[in-house]
Amino acid sequence: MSDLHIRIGTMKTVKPTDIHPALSEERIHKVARVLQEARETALAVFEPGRGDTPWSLGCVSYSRSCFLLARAAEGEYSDWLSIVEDAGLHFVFAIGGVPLRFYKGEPEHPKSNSLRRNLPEVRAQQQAFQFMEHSDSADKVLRLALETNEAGAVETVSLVELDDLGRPLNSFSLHLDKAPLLTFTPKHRQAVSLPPPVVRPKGKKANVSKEAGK
Amino acid sequence: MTVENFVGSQLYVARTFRGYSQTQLAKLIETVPSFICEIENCRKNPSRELLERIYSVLGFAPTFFCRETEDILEDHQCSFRHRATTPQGLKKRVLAYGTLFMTLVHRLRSLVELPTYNLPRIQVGSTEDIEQAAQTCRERLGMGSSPVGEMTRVLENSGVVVTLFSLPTLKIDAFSRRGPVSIVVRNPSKNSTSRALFDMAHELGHLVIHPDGAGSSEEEAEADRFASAFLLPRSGFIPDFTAVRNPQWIHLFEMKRNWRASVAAIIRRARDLGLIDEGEYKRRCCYLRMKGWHKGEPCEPAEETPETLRAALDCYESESGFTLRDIGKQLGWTPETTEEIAGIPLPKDNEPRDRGLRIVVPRHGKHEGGEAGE
Repeated sequence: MSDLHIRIGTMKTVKPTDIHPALSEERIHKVARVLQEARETALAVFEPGRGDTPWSLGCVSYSRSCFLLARAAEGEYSDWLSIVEDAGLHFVFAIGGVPLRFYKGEPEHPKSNSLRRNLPEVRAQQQAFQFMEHSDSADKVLRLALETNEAGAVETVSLVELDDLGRPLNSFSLHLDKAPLLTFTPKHRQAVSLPPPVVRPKGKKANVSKEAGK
Repeated sequence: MTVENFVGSQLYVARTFRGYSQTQLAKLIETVPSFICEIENCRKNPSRELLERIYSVLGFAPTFFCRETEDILEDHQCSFRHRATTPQGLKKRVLAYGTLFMTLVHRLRSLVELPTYNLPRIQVGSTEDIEQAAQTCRERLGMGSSPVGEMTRVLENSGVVVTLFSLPTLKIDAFSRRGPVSIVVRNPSKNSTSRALFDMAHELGHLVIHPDGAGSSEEEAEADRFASAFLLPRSGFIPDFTAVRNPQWIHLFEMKRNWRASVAAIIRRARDLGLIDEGEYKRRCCYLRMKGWHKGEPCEPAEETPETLRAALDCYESESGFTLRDIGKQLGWTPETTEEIAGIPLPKDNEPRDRGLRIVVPRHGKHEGGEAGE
């Protein structure tokens, strides 16, 4: 894929499909676009002048990301995208059965709460890797890190592989230079208003005097 | 001395419009109920003294009782939602109101062209037929699967004159009649705009699928289903309702804001379309009752007012010079009665008439006055 960039740093550069064949670049790109879309719609209603803060933006963005991923998993991407766990602030989805979580921040410095794993994720991880020979990824943690630009829009999405102690091993970054398509955001239907009823004089002006009929 | 050309049926209309029984009226005008009955059936004529008393009690001029009303609203022509439980007196009262209102519309139509009645007549035999009928109406109005902006305009643009008649009861929400003048009479006493909009969609349903009047509870249920399908069309409602898994009340109220239908109607529609099961529907209804929302929901849409009558009165006045007060006088109505029937307050005699706001564009070099037609 043209906009796939390998991050240069201490981490190894391994293709996502080397971790698991289900993690194709195309699928990761599609998920990244969904997360970009969610952030974009959150930014659209972000009004610092009315008391919105980066915290509230993050909350809206997170909630919308979960919502849009769930919609995509039920709809267009149902063949390969699924929801593993949706427990309030702990949201886990899976690409081709491989569980992932997302967070906003640098790929090299994931926050501890985004590394936490619950039983559904551990089980899904074990199932996804159980038939893969010579793979040590069953114990690894996979995360998508979202990096934003100065305007708050998602610019880069990185797939990060971390060891069980949370140390980053590999990272694959996608630069999202195109505007989000708003594919999964439900559109508000605009009400249809009819014009006022048309009332007009009948034929010629009637020649009626005011006194007549009184 | 008796009045020879007295029309008994006019007394019936005036009496029932005021909500009096024959006994009550007889007491007020100091006569016996049987005499009222005789007058109404044109077997006897009242004396001039009695007519004066009738006039003062009922609020109609003597001329009203000497001219037969051509278009009288009959019970069988109209559809009442709670036909079985609606008190007869109340039913007669609104029918009399409808008759008088139609008289006013007939008068206006002599000089004014109102929107032509263009609602289809669709026979239905199943729920799917009703859904299709509602969709046909939507397509004819160019609404697709979007929310309805103003329900009153839907009726009025279809050639139905809408009017409001306040009743001290909620037994009658609205009723309609298809005929030379097709009308929908709505009771504005209901403390819920969203339900009032549903009532109008219900009446639209009667006009489309029961044009000859409806009476049975099955027909009322069919009109309810039509209203539901018209306000919340399947193709638009299902994607909205299913956009959120397990929608919370906040989502339902968001839908209410968008679709202008009550939350109760939204839940019912979701059940009818199989989006929620019977248990979930009952649970939601229980919560609704517990919160008291069955008597009035929060986040009500804006109130709608009929526009045809006002526009027709303005047009009539500009054509003939006659105001509503003049028309009322011609029809033998007192100013108070005219206000009640038209639902429009009359300007005081010394009060300048409100002709609405006009935008006046000043001409260059002219600061005062202007030419005719400006």
